[in-house]
Amino acid sequence: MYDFTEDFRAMSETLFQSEFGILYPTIKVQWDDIPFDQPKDRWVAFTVNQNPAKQATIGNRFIVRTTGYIQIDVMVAGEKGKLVEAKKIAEAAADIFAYRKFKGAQITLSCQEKHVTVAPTAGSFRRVMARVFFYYDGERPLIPMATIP
Amino acid sequence: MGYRSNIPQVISRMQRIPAKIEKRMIQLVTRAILRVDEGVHEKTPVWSGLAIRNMIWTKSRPNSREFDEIKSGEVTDEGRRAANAAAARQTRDGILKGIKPFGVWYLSNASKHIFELEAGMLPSPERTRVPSGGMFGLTFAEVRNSIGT
Repeated sequence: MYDFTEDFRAMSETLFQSEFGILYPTIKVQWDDIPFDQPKDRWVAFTVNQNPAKQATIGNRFIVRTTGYIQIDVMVAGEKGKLVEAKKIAEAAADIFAYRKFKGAQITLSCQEKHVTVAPTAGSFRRVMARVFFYYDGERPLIPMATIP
Repeated sequence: MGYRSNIPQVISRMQRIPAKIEKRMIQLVTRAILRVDEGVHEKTPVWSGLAIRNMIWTKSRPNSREFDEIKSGEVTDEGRRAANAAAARQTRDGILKGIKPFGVWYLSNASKHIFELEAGMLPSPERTRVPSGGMFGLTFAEVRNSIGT
């Protein structure tokens, strides 16, 4: 199945980087598959999880639709009281996407609701997890047929 | 030529509309419940059977009671899936019997390790068989989108 995973990843990461960078310029962001030095106080991890793409053909257009969610984990060190601050950051981060639509060169992204909850961790940090559900559509380019002379 | 009113027929047709809406709503709700159930079950790996046994459907209020797993079948090779899934699905079949069109239905899981399982941390992040994104997260994204469109 033709998919637009990398286009979507680039688009969502750029959007998040630019908007979250304005809201919290001092908080470091951990991206998928990029080496990261864990700060001692707090950081944010950005990941994307999605189902396999499905073809949703409309007429003679080949639309590929993918569903999934963006996950933003806010990690903070310290006592339970720190969760209040972490929740505030998580809500603000989720609002960058929740219920918004974005149009890129290859895909159209439609975001739906956000879920923000406290989640377990393996280490000593506390974690607040924000998920924003989405679907995005990409139009598969048609391959021109060979010209019959 | 006399005048013949068709108002009785129009009224009769209009009176049938609420029943049609209710029937359609029941179809939609049933389909959503079946899709959520199927999606979550197929993504949930089985070791002891505890997680799958606790996929409990309820109406109006979520379930908070943890049920013990059924120790029938081998722990290896998903041997305990059939018995535990069948027991859990009795609750699904229970709510689908005589279902009313408007209401709130919950799929809850009160097993003690469900958060870690969903997060892909069990038995360890390297050995997890849960798809990246979790059973509930990915299923919700898929079903949410199909209902929304």
